[in-house]
Amino acid sequence: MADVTRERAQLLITSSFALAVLLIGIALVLNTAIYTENLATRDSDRGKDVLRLRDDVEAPISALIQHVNYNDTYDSYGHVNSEFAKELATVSDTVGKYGALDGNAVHVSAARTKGLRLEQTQKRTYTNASSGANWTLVDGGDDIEQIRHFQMEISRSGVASTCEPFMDCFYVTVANDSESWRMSAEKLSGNVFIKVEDSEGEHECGKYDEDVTVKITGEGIQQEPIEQATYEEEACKEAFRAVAGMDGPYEVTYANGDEIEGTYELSVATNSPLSTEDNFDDQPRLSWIVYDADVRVTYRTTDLYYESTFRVVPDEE
Amino acid sequence: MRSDGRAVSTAVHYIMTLMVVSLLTSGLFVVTGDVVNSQRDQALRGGMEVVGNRVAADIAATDRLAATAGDNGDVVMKTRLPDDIAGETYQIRIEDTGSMGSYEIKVTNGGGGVSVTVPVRTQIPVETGIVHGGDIVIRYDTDTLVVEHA
Repeated sequence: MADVTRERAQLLITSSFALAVLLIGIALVLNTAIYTENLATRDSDRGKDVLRLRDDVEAPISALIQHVNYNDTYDSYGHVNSEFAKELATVSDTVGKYGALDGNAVHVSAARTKGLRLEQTQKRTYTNASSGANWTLVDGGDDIEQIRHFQMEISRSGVASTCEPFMDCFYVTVANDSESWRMSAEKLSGNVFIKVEDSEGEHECGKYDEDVTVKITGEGIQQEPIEQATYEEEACKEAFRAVAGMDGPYEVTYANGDEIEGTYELSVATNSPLSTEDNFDDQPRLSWIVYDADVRVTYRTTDLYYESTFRVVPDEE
Repeated sequence: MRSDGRAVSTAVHYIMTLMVVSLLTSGLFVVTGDVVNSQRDQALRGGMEVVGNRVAADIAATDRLAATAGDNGDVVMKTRLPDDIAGETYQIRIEDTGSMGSYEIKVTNGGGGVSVTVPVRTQIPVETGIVHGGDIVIRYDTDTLVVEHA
């Protein structure tokens, strides 16, 4: 009788042990499934913070270059550069602190390109500082490979009325070793007429009864002409696109600058002073600028390292 | 006579009980054993699908980052993955489908019985190869994305 009792207990123990193993098996499978669910619901769009960071850095640095360049007139590059460095440190600190809140190490630095802004900010004739009417703003010998933001505000009242376009009227020439582009302004019956000449020939670029804004390295003339009849719209747009796409080294000259009035500016990238600097003084004047910046962004978390260098040029038009 | 019958009845009763209990227990084992196995297979497949999709998502994310990083840029992304799925080791194979920028992430278990394929499309070419389960690193290495063991 005692033996029978022991055997019955053995069966029970074996069964319960096997059942326990089965339950553990089920628990393990459930555990795997739960882990899988956990893995599946983790953020799968990693790196979006980094892409946002790049945008968050690009726009402020572009604005920063603009702000520093236009905040003052600088007679040395060191001056504008130290202003820029000060502001950049603030941007880098701010970005770094915001990154640190999320446990990311973010760093921003920028290698700058030296540049000069040639400008006339007061309305006067387009003559040089010593009242010369035919003069060179940028000389081909200075090896200027980059020009941006070349624009003019032509005052209607100051445009000469009895002159021949590209002869004794005011005209600007942008040229390199192989190509040349010219724009002339004259006044007839109180209206300003703009003519452009490129490799395709001369084009009528409109008749205007107000002051004319021309973005030479950008989208061209900003106003709508008052008369469509003589306006060669496509050819004009193409001519402005051609000058914007022209390769360096550039030469920019004004002819008959005393036949026009208004303001203008252009920025060039250069390491050394221009050979034409004697043409500038109080008006027109030169100011050192930060032409552009190669911005380097690094972003580091435990699982991601990102480093990118990109060029920031404000208002490249 | 009466007491003999009672003794037989006890023995028969005991054997019958033993048989019924054994039958029920073995039935339980067979049924639950199958359930556990099929659940395990499902969990394995599910886990492999998740791993494949995760690798594909991180390759795509690294591709997007590398595209913005430029020529002098650097991108290294670590993907944390389990060393095994449902108790089985696994490997991740990256294969070129032959069509431009289109790849397949093939996750296979150690036994080789289960395989899951996830497609991924990138702008930057991905180096084909095999990595074993566990944490991996996706690296942007001069115009190529390289997947390697962390």
